[in-house]
Amino acid sequence: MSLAAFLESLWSEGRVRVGPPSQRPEGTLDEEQAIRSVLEEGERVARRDFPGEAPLFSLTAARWAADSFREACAFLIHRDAGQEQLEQTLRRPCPDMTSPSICYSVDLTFRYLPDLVRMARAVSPNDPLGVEALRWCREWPLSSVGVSGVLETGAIDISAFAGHPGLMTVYVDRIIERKDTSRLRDPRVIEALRRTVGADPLLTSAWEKHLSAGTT
Amino acid sequence: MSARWAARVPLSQAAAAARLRLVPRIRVLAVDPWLWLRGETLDESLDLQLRSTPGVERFVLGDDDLLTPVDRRVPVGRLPEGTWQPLADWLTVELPPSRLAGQCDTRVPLRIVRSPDVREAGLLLTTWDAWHAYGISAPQVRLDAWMFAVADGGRTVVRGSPPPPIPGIAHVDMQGIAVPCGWHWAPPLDTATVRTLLGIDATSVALFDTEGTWERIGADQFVRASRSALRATEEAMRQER
Repeated sequence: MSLAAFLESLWSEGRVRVGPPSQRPEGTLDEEQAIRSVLEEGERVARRDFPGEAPLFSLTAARWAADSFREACAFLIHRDAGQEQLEQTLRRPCPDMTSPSICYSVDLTFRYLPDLVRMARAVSPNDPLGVEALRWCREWPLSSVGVSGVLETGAIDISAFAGHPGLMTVYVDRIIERKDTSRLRDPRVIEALRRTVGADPLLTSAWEKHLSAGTT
Repeated sequence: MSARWAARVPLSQAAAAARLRLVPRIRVLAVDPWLWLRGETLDESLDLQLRSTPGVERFVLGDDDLLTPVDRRVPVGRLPEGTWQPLADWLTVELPPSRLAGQCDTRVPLRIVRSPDVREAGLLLTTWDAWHAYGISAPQVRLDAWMFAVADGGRTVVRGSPPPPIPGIAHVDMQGIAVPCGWHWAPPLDTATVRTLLGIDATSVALFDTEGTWERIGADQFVRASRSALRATEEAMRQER
């Protein structure tokens, strides 16, 4: 399955087929164009539901995330790959420095990180893929809301997107939806949550403890 | 975007599915408490209409009719079995006014009087500009509580409690009989009787002003509040201007 088909299937059906890791059929101009089209279309759909003005879309970062995520899915299925190969493949850094634009673009695919972590943990609690996925969770906190154990393995830093109102709204939306109170240790998140809850009595009663304490 | 799909809405809100009646090849099955819908293809336009349908839950329909909620990876059940029929056949078409402003000045033998009772607002009559500006940046958890309907000229009704924090005329929404806050109808009839007097069905909203004038808003004129629905409405209104 090409990367373009992988993404289309992931976004529309939630089911993907993957070959062995690091066997990428892309390369021709047509294939690259297909990937670009799918990513841009996916971003256009995401932008429709984005709160306020979305950051600029980085095709480079989105492509890196899509490639990386597909590789991770391949390691999930093809268990005979060695740990060294897994680490070498999944530790390729994002080619761009983190920023609102990069966080937004990576999230197009990495928003499925919680599912990947859950499936890796189902294989084994200490699965090497799960370890690498958890590292991604720390590096991309916007995309990993709801994953347990992220903060137990290291700190997260939301500075890359904390200054963008729309991305902070997405972040708090996910915290509320997934009831991930572990993310409420940052005063910027508490403040954003306070703005979200507003005067809504139901929301206020549900989150009052965290708002008044300012911590979990 | 072409996968087989399914969706369900509470039967109590089935009228909201009426907006889809002209979409070909949608089939429905009523299994209390849900109205199930299914289709073989999903394009962007239909996806947007589904997203905008109040109370809807959307699914990707997999092999063996397994239901996987949109944005989830794990099936949660299977499509119910039964006699599916075309949506257009299942719906009974009435002849209601088609727009929010369609039945102004219909007088009823009810008066709107000042009320000392304190009741929470559950509906806001506002402007499209104010609602659009707020809604497209609003948190999802707040949007989830609201539906909205827009009339020609931009008059906008946002239904849900508490109403959005924007300028407008707040109304108390008593089972679809909406009167401005601080007002009530007299004589103090129950809402079912008021509905009968007004000649409106159980799913429509009767929106009163302080003069006692009211207008009917059909359930199929409300759409679920979402940023994409707001943007699509804005785009449609811009094209109409």
